[in-house]
Amino acid sequence: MERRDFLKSTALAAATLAASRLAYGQERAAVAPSGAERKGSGLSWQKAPCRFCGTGCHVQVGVEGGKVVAIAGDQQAEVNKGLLCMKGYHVGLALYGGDRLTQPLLRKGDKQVPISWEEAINIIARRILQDPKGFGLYGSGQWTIPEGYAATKLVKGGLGSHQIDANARLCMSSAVTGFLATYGVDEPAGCYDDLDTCDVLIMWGNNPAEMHPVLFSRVIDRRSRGEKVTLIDIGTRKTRTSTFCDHVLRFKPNTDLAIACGIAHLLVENGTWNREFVEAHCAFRAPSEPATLQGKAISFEEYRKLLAPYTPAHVEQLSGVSQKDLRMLAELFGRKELRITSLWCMGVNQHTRGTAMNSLLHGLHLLSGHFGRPGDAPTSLTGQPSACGTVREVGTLAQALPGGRSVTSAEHRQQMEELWNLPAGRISDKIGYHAVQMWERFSTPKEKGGDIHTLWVQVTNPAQTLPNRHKLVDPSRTLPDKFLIVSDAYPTATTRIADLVLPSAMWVEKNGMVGNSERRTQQWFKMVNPPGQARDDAWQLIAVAHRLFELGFEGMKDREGRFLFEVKKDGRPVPIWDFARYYDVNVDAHLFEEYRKSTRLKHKDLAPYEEYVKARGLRWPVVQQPDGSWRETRFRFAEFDDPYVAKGRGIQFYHSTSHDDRAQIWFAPYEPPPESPDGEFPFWLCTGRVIEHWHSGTMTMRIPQLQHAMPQAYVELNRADARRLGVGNGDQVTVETRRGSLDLPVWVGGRGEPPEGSLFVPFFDERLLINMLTLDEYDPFSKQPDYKKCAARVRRREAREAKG
Amino acid sequence: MSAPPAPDDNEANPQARWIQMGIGVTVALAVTGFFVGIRPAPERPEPAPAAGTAAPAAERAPSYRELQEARRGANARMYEGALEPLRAGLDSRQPIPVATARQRAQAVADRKAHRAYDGAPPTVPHEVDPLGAPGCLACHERGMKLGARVAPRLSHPPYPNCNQCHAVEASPKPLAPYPDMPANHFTGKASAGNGSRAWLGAPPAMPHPVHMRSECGSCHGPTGHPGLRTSHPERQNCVQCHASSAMLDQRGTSVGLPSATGGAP
Repeated sequence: MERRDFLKSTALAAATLAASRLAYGQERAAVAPSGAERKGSGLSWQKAPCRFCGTGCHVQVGVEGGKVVAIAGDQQAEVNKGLLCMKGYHVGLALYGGDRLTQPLLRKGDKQVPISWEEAINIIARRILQDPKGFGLYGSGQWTIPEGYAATKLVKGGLGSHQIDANARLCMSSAVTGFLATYGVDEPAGCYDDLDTCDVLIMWGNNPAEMHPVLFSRVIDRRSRGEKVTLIDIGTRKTRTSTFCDHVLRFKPNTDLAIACGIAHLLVENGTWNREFVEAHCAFRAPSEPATLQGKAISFEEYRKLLAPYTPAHVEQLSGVSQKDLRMLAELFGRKELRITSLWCMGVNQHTRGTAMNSLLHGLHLLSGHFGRPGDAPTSLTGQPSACGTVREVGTLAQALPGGRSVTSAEHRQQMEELWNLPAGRISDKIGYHAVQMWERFSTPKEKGGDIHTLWVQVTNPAQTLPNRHKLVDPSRTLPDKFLIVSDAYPTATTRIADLVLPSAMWVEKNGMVGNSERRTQQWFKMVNPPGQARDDAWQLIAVAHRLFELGFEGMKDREGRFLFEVKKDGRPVPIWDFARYYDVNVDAHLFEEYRKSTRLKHKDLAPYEEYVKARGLRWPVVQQPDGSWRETRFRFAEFDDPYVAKGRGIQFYHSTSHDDRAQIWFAPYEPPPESPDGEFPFWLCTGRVIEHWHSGTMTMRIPQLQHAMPQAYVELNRADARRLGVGNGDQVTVETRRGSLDLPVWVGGRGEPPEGSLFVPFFDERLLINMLTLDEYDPFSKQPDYKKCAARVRRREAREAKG
Repeated sequence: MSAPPAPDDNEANPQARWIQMGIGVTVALAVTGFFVGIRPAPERPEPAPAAGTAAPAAERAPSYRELQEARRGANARMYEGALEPLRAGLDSRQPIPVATARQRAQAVADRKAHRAYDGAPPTVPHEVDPLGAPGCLACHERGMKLGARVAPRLSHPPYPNCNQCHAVEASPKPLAPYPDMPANHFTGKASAGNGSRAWLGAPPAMPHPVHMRSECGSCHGPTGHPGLRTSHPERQNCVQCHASSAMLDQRGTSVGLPSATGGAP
């Protein structure tokens, strides 16, 4: 009884504290006790989601003397249950790299010289006033939800354009189009709980042992507990994941579409598809002329006919996967009692046929009925902590408006004008430039159509991560009147070429909210102060907006002439554009409460801010119960868990593109890739991550433990190829594509093992930029480039050279 | 290396000492050979395999433990029991003197060399197979001792994917160390500090969480740092006397929502 009472009183106290925080703001230093804070032995502990990937683990952050001094896995977090990976355990060190940016810098000639924030904000405001529509904002899946929302409101509601896009275009947009084409609404129906109950886990071009290690452990730890789970790796290279798998299927790059069609063909021909499920809940689609995301409706017979060429023999010939293995996969999908979960990430998304392949994977699960039961789910993983929460849900993209709305819908524009209290017609109906276009226009002279004159980059490093930088980034640096603004915490490949550099606060140096791969929205409080003059990204956006407002720019006023980002406390506006006053209120909570109102349209309901303060994240839709509590949803579209499914329907795809509650099972043909190895460039080149480093390494390369473990990029070669080239471990080779070349050391028998004729190079190393070599061809629907395959050749460097 | 003396010397021969040493060297070489033998991945490409071995069928790298268990042929039982002597002495139950303050400070310093802060997963001070499912458990599941070198027993229940958390300390060959890495000013908590005592002589409470440190013997057992060892290894039920901390164990502060969907309580 006593313990119960204690728990209750703690919960009550925490909730009260949180509520009061929301209403009355925070202490300036923001180290006031928060709901989930625990103290002891000089340390105080508070929850925060990890800064790095899209898994969304929660950590406990130990703070002492105003500094982060320790990290622990959060045992109350459902995602990671107390466990982390090597990046998560070292996430606290990401704040303390010795070369943090601490003051705004303006380029003068060859140098970047310190200027004041006041000057920096003025410069940006003047650049915008000069031509508001030629100003672009390039953000990130690492933007927090309130940051992305402020950025969206600034550009779409304030500047009257849609020149905002995000780096998630490079990693997630094919997943989005796949979901839209199949279900009419974005993001997975299942969740991580599926990993606890699936009998079979199929990983498509996916290496979770390195990229989502905590999720991978969640599965393989079941084996240690004596459970049986069959792991299948369908990929183009042997990875750490492969070594744990029961079946490892190697396919030739780009032929994953043939494999998916081959399995569907076998299901149909063997009669092992789930007729009952399909007849009740699905319809069939095929590509249309001209190509659209909706495609054209086809009958089952037409679907069957389209699949007819994908016989096991033909697919084996195309893909290199044996007929036996294809039949094994079809047999598993054909067994209705099994629970099958598919995972995929960049292998399927960074693909010139990414939308098609995403749709095919959903289609396999729908055709076989492996959907809508715990453990039966097609689940696309994300790579950034808020690719889902910010980019996809807020909609920081050239074609999107918040809450799953579309720029091209008059109704949606009107709804947002209503929410933002804007004069009618303020929101433009013209879609902005997607990432690749935006950079192309920025790197094109004005007289040749390069109508983007100023680009503001936040929380990402495009000079390292965009494909084909020679074409997309570098020309802008020599053109007159092209101005590059970059907000970051550390010097990066992008800050180095910037005209204006803004020092940013990061992670627990600010309040934040993010959304992970399983629809889970997470919240944390500021715990320590940022170094020097580094400031919150959201503040930077609001400060520029307010300067424009002061200069009389109409776009920053609402219908009543009030500032677009006005926040009131005790009935009076708080000058949040003054950084000294920014934490007088919880700006995050105010932005989130406004944003939350836009989330009902697509049934992605979010709870009030305080609910996230109390929880370790909640999965949307979060729906209020009759007793006033808020209930999260684990499995969408399934009656047993999703409150939006009508009683008695079992499964209901309530955002169906055909408006009949049906999901679309797509057919999409295999087509050869835009560039394949040939006599001149005989190798496939694949790029990706390693477990130690996250993205472009700006944070993890400054963490000694991670940087020592993986200090530089390398090229992975198959032994037979190495022998043929006469090179061994450590020898320098030149990797060349039609777009560029790079000298790299050879690693044979290292972290991974590509098959003969294939190369792999990680992209984290800013000294060895592999993206200079990759293709800038992209998926026609998602506009996502393909970083995973292009043609390359390897030249052994002369011994003399190699030594130098 | 010279061969040991001929074995026909009688017992009175002063060379008996050399014989013993020779045997010692041979044993040491055999043990070294064993460990060299199980080291992963040659650094140069191997000679071409016989033709016709390319099959797209399933492959899965067996762990060292499995290899050991699955050895076939003439040498099948060669290593059976070979690891046992290395474990000898690990389960000593003999009382030892209470650690001194200096020993304790030394232990904290030694530990800090292999972790970013107290509670961080220690880095790995030796090479590991960079690709395969790691064979960590072969040595670390129960712990092992070879001369002064100790492979500590895991401090937590075994997880199969060790290199998810434990990074290698030195750059794996052939990668070159990063030449001019900026300093990192993180000052991690070096030690959990001493556990609090109700009075002088009372059993100290645990100054650190139980999570990931539930195998007390890993640090406090006979192979732990001298400054951390228990003076009374004969007592096996540590938590009988040493209380854990609800705060450190993240217990009793639950303010999260009850599972909305009726998960396990």
